[in-house]
Amino acid sequence: MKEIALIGSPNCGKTTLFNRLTGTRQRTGNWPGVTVERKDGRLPLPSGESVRVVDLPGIYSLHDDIQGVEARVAHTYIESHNPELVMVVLDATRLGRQLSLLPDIIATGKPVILIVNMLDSAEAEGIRVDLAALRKGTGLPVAGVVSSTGVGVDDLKQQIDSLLLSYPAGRIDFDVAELSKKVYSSTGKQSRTEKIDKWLLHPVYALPIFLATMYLLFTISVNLGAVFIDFFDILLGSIFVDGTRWLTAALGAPQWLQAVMADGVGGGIQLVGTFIPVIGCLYLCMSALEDSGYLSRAAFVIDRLMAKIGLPGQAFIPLIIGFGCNVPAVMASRALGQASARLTTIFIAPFMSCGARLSVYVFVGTAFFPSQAQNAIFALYLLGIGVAIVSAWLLRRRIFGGMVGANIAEMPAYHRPLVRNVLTQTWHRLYSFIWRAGKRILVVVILLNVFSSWGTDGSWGNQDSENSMLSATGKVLTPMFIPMGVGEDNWPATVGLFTGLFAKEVVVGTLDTLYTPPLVSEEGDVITAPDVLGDSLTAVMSVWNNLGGLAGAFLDPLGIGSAQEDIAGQAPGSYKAMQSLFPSAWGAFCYLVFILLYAPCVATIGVMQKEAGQVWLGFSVVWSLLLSYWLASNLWHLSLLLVNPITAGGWIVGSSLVLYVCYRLIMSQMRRGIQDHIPAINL
Amino acid sequence: MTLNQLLEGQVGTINALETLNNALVRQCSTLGLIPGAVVQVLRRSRGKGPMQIKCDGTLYAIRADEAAQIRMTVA
Repeated sequence: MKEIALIGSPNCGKTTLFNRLTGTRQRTGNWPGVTVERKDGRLPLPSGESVRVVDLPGIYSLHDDIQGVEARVAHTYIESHNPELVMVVLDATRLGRQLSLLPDIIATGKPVILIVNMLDSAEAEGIRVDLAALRKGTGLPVAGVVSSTGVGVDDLKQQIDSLLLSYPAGRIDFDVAELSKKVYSSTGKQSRTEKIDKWLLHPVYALPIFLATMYLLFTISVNLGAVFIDFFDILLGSIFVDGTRWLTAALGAPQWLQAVMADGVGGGIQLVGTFIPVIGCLYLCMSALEDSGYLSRAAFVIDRLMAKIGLPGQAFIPLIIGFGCNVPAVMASRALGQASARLTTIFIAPFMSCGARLSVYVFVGTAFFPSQAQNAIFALYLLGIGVAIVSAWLLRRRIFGGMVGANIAEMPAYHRPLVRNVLTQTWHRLYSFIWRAGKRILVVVILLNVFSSWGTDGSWGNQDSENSMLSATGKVLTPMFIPMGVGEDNWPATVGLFTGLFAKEVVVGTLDTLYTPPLVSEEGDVITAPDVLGDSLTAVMSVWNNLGGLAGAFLDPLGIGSAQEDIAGQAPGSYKAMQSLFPSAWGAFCYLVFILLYAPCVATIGVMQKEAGQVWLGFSVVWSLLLSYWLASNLWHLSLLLVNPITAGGWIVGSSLVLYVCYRLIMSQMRRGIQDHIPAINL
Repeated sequence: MTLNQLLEGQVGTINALETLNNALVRQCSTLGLIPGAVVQVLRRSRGKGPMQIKCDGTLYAIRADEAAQIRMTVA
C-alpha cells in the first residue's frame, strides 16, 4: 500500500482531518523506541485505490535540536519511509506563522501538498486568506478544507488521487515573510477565543471556574465510571473465571492448570476489565476538555502553584485524576511535553491516594478508631500529597536540577469538541490500556494467583486460606513488619500487603477472609457451569443499583461517607481477630500509612512500565517501599518513645540514617539511569 | 524593558533574548518569538505567575521569569 504522511504544527486541526479522512480504519501504536504515539489509517480514494495515511506528531520545526523526539520522529519518517506525498496542514486563522514550517519540509525534496484548514473560523473572524496567491507563491498544490464539517474533503481526495498519479513540477523558491504578507491578513480584531478568555482567565473568576471544572471532571469520570465496575466484574468473572474453571475441569485438566487458567488468566482479564469503565469515562471527559481548548487554560490558572514543585501547570491534571485511580493518572502524564516533567509526574502520581485505597482505610479505620475515621482518612490523603510534594522537590533538586526547561506553551483557540474526535481519542487510549498495559497486568496476576492458590502441601485452590504458599510466605515475612506496628502473629496483615498488589481494594477481602475463623471447609466443592445468563442479569442490575447512588456522589466525590456506611452495615466478624492481632489502634494506623505508600498496584505498575520504562519504574517502586517503611516504622516508634526511649530513639535515628544512605544511592543510580536508559529524553 | 514589565494590553517588539538557557532560546525560535516579532500582552497574573501573550495571531502562556529574559522595545 502506498503511504502518504500528514504533518503540521500542534493545534492545526491535523488530527481532525486525519479522523475525517480515515474514519474508523485506524491503528495506533508507538513510534519505535519512544513514547510518541503513532497513528496510521487507511484512506480509500475516489479511484478505488487505498493509501495508508500516517499521522506524524505535531511539530513546529523539523530540526530535532529544537523540538526533540517529535521532530526526530517526523524527520526520520519522511527521510527513511519515502512517503509518496506529504500533506502539510496549515491553520488558516494563523496562516502567517504556520508557513514557517514549510521550508524544512520542502527541503526534504518530497512531493508536498498544502492543506489550509479551518477556513470557516478564519472567515468568522474576518481573516483574509488567499489560496490562489499561496498556490502562485509556492508553486505547490493547495487545497482548502474545513475538517470539522468536512467541507472540501472530497475535493482533497480527488486531488490526492491525481497527485499520486503524477506530481507536477514547478516549485518556486519563496521568502516566508513576504509570502505570508501576500496570502494572509488578519483584522487585528479581538478573536472569539480572546473574548472567552476574558472570562475563563478572569483575575477573579478563573479560579472558581477552574475548581468547578476539575470537580466535575473528577466526579463525572470516577463516579460515573464506578457505576459500571460491578457490571464488568460480575460478567467477566462469570465468563472468564468460573467459565474457564468449569471448562478446564470438564476437560479433565489437572488442578494446577485449572488454577492458572481460571484464576490467573481469567482473573487477570477480570481485573483489567474492572478498570475499563473508570478509564473510559475519564478519557471521555479528558478528550472533550482537551478538544475544547480549556486544558491549556486550566494549566495556566494553576501554573503558579505547580511551579513551586518544579512542574508545569499541565501536570496538575494527572495528579488530580490520581485521587480516582492512579492508572489513568500515569497515562495522562503523557500529555506533558518535557520528559523531566513527565517522569516526575509519573513518579509522584502513585502517592495520590486512589479510590481503592479508601476502602482499606475505611475497613481498618472503622475497626480501630470508628469515631476518628474521617480525620484519620483525611490525614492519610494529606500525607500522600506531602510525600508527593517532597519527592517532586527532591527529584527536581537532585536529578533534573541542571536541566532548565522552558515553559512557553501555545494556548489553542477554543473549539466546540467534536464527537468524532472525542470518541476516537477515547477509544485509542482505552485500547492502548487494554492491550498494552493489560498484557503486563495479566502476567503479574497469573504469578500472584498461582502463588496464592498453590498450597504448602502441593494442593491447589487455597486462596485466602492459611495453607497457601502466599500465607506461608506472609508468616515468614511478618517479623519484618513488626517494627511498624504489625503484631507478631498478625500474618494476615502481611498477606494483605501482597494481595494488595493486585488492586488495593483486594486487601479488604483478604483481611476479612483471613481474620474470620474458618467455619466450613470448602474442599471437595463441585465445580458447576457458571450461570452466565443469570450473572449477566445481576451485572445489568448492578448498573441500575449503582446509578441510584450517583446523586450522592456529587456531594461526596471521594465516597468517604458511602464507604463508611457500607462497612457500618456489615459489622464484619473479622474485626475481633483483627483487633486482637494489631498491638494498638496506632499500629493499625501505621499499617494504613504503609498501605498508602508501599507500592502501586499491578495495573499502575503496568502503565508505569509502559510510559516511563523499566528503570524508572524500578526506582519509583524502591523509593516508595523504602519511604513507606521508614515512615510507618518511625510513626510506630514515636508512640514507643515514652515507654522505651532507647530502643525507639535508636530505631528512629538508625532507620533515618539507612534511609539517607539509600536515598543517596538511589539518586546517584537514577542520575546514571537517566543518562543510559532514557536517551530519547525530550527536554 | 523586558517582556514581563509590559502592562496588560501593551504591544512591543522583541529586541533580543538575553539568556543562557538554551531550551528557552530554542523554544522561542520554534514558536516565532524571535527578534522583530510583535508581541501583545493580554494578561498578567500577580507575582511570578504566568502571562498570556499574543504573537502572530497565536496565544501563548509564558512564565514571568522567562518573560524577564526577553528584551522588548515598546513603540
